[in-house]
Amino acid sequence: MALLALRLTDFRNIASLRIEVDGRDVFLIGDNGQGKTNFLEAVYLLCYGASFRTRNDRDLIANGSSEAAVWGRLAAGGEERGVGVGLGRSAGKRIAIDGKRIRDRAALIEFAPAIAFTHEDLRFIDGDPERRRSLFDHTLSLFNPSFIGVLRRYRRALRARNALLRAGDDRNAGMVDVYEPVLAAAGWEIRTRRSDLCAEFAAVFADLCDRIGGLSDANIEYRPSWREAASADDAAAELRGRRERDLAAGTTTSGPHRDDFRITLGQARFSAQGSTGQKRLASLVLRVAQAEFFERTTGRRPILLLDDVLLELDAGKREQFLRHLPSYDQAFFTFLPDEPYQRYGGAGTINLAVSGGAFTPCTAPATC
Amino acid sequence: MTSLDRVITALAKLPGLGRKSAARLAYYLLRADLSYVRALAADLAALRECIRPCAICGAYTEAERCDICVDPSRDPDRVCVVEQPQDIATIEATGEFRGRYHVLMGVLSPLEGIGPEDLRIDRLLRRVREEGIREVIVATNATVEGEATALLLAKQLKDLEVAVSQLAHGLPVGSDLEYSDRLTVSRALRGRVRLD
Repeated sequence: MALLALRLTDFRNIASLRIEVDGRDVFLIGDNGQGKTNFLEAVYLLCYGASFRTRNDRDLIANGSSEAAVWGRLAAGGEERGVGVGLGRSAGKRIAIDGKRIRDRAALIEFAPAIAFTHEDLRFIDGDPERRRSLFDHTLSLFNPSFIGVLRRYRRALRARNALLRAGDDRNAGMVDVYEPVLAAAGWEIRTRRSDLCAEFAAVFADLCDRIGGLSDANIEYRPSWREAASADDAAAELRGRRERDLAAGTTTSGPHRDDFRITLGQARFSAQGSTGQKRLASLVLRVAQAEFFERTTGRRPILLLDDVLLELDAGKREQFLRHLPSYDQAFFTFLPDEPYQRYGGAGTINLAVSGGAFTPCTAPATC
Repeated sequence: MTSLDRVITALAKLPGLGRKSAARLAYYLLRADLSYVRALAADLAALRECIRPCAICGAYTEAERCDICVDPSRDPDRVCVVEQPQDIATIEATGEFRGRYHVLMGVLSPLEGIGPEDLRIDRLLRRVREEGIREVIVATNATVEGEATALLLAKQLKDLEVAVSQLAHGLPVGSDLEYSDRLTVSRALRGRVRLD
């Protein structure tokens, strides 16, 4: 899938832009703060109806403006669609496909997903477990919307059990008895799916860390909080067994909300053992795994958005990484002017010089 | 504030209605046939005075006991337990069930402070003992709260001589197996039925 044309009005620092991007590789070249990432964010918004940088849609509207508009023509599976997203400070967000307003973002996601590689991804490696859980849950929900329902069910049952624990009333024991199997059933479903996905990610992760970075012993291992459990019934028994402790803590201390994914290099945690460059590489590889999982599940190739991510890789690893990118129909890369981006491009690469929210096509790289 | 404003404000409090829809209804009433509006107002006023819960099952009725509880052709051995009175209409519409009902008037919900004592569970246990009921069919919703409530009923009914069953959870009629989520499929598997 690919973006063919993009029109922006009052989107972050981009006052007005109308551009055709009919190319497989698009390089955005400019100094920091000129609008490169904003461009990627607009493409992401067309694919998901949300930003990868902020949860507050108002942040996307240019200062001093009350509305922003993003429109793009996307192609996927031999079909073309005009997708429009309107953002208003008071009117909120409106999404339309071919001029027809849609209520559920799922219709957007199914058509043309993008995978964004950003600096923040480093947190998958050295951030807290929450980050890793969200990577896996996000991947599962993107490609199987029913997973969102399972997550909601789990959270609801968890909140109910926690409320009962906090009330600490003996009469509640019967209520906790009946909430635990419900919590365990939803939790077991989450655990099974995370476990399957982790096995797939681990294979891609180990392979690419080796081929790109020469790290022969990188691995991801799922560390479920219900360690001994082999079924939903076991999980319910584990909850019951820990009830005294949970009562004292006033919260549920086991379950998928306490899971982790241990990313390792040799025997040690990757975050402790790896250099900054190696950690950066590992975080990129996780995104590659996500893109490959997407292609295998849907039979389609996502749009790739790579935001400054090559910066922290040394020259050798950069070229290796680019060689091992997941297959794509279109990719957008951002570069600083002094990076040797000419070496990564080909004859069909579109170069856009970015300055002060303006995007100027340039055919001769030297003038960018 | 004119009476028109008051009606709009009052209608907008109804579930599922925003101020815009409320205004549309109010303007409709303003121009509608006077006898229709008077009858509607009278019925609304009578609603709370005349309708009350059935002394036995808890369904809404104008009499002491509802039509189903006094109907001698209904099977007295079976009772279907529902969350709300309006759930009865849904099951009745199928024409599949000829037993009687019991309304819980809610579900367990720790987040809203609703516990077993707030539901009509004691009444159900008493009915099972006194009416000689042989099967209780639990028809709570397939939500987290509905499931927990069903488990609680099963526990409390365990020591009585009564069979307890739950509505099957499974594939929606007309749906594709391929597009069903695993939770639904695994429940459908557990609740499978023999074909012979």
